Amino acid sequence: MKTEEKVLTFFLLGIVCFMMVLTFGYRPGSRLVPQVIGFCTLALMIILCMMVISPKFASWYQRVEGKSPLMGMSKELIESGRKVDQTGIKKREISVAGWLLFLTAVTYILGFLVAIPLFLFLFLKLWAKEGWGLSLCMSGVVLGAVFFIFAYILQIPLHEGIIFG
Amino acid sequence: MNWELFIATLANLLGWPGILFLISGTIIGMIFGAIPGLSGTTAIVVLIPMTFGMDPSTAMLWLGAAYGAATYGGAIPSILINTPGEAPNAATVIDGFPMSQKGKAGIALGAAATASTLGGFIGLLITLSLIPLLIKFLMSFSYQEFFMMAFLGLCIIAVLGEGTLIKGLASGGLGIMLSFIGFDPITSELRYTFGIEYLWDGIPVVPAIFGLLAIGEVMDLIIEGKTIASPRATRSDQRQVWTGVIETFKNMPLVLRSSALGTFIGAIPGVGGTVAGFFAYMQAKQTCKNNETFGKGDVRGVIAPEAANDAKEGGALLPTLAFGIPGSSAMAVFLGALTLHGLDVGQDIFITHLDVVYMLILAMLGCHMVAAVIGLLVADKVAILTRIRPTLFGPVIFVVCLIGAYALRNSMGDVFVTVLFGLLGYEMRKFGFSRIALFLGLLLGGMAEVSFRQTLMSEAGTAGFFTRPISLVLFLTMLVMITSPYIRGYRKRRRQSV
Repeated sequence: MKTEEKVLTFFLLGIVCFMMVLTFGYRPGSRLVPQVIGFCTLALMIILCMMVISPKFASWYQRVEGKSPLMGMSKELIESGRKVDQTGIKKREISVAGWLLFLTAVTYILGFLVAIPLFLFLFLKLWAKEGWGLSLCMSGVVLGAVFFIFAYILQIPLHEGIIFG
Repeated sequence: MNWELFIATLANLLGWPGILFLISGTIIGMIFGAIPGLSGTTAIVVLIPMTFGMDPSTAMLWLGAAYGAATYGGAIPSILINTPGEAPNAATVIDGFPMSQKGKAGIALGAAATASTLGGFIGLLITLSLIPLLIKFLMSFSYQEFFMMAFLGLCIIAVLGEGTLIKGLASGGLGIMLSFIGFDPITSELRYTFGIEYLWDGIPVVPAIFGLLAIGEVMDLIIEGKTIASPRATRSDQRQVWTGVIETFKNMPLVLRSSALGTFIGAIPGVGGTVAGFFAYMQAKQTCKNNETFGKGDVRGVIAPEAANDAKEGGALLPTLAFGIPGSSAMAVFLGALTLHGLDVGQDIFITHLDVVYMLILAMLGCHMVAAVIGLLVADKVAILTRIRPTLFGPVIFVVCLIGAYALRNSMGDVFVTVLFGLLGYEMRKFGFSRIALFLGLLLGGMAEVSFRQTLMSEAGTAGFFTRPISLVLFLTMLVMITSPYIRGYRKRRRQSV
């Protein structure tokens, strides 16, 4: 969890640093605001990075800030209704992100009309462990609805993929 | 108040096909609200692609009805199965479910429907009455005020929203940096495009919001595999429903207090409906007589949060439409929808497209009435929706988001942006970065830059920010907002040391 937070924070810091460096190549008028905002954001990101590296600094900062989020209401109270099963969550995260990337890649290569039923069927059958009937039925119904609404009613030319297009 | 336009908009709403969009939007919103994990935000995201080709007024009618009805939809599973349909309904569970266990589900459902309708009405009437004042205020805005307003909005969200102040500000800063991608609005120089033609117009706002809020949210839902506490819903007696309606009218002062509180909290950007519900519940517990029954199935514990939840929608509309500062994630999506239909918030929408504002308010008023009728008749049957597993509707929402993003400009680039922002949004939510601040930065960054440079080019130069009274007040408010958490922290440390 902590490593993941470090990765995210440093990734965001990297983006801001990279954008800051690029500003020096622009004309004075074009770089003024990006540099001002970039400098402030960079300073904030550096503080955040220090917080994820050093727990001592993080606890000091939290004492200094004294922010009471959500108008002073306890976060535990607000989130009391959430029941999250933490076992194997990392695996599930990677898996769901993978499925999303799979859908995007298949859409790009084969187009929406192939990607939608393929993704839905495989996701429901393999990931959600649903039965054959429900998986096939859901894939067909969603494909039909998408085709009817977007292609037939809204007349949107759906992406056909780099192979068929 | 432009009564002529208001009545014409009302006639459009009640005419054909306005009424069809009102009823269908309400039903869709109620369904999304009733399914735990889904929300009004998801309902709007799913409907946005279907509004392409509609005129802005009809589109806002449909989206407004769906959004307005979602909160009431969320009260149904809160009462019947101990699981809030939407986060703002979490406070309703405290007394709603114990009422169900005592066999009084019908009373709770009737009270929730009536309180939601009355709360929604009060919140929206307050909003409607404030519009003329807002128009006058907005007319006095110039570049300096627009610039200050953009940054004040970010500061408010960073201070009051999720995560630490520093994470909120950093998210907003990153959003502004990302808004610089594309053509420089003054010199037309290309920035951060790396030779990619797609980036010339910058990062599109609507696919970004689809990713940040909808994809990230649905990923969270599938990954966490949220379980429903009790899949078997308690049945309700239809005769009890009317008792609930009468109980709400008997507690009118509580409805009024909770609605006013909800409207006020809704108008504070970044706070959200969950806080409104809990605040209203707490004030009900503190101000009502015989409060020892709260938490054990007291109908007042249902009335207060439900009235506040629905009243907050009216309050949230004000900062969103007037200043482009969303009060909640749903309002952020609304901002995206307005942009998509070519509407600019602030002066543009209040002066040139006032009919759209009226339509949005009327749709949200109308949907409360339709939702109340449906709720009073078939609320217990709606509970069946809560048995739908997130793994069934999650992938469908992925598909709709991606196809919706594509349909904006028939561009696969928009699909990639949605997915990238979806993954980023999921990670940001997990570690307490503010996604709304990032979105707001992305949305308002361009306007802030133009306003800043136009101020510099004006006669007054940078001094213009501090010589105009409204701009100066906004700047000072921003300073107070940013320093207040540190001052509070200092005081707290001093108290502890004493």
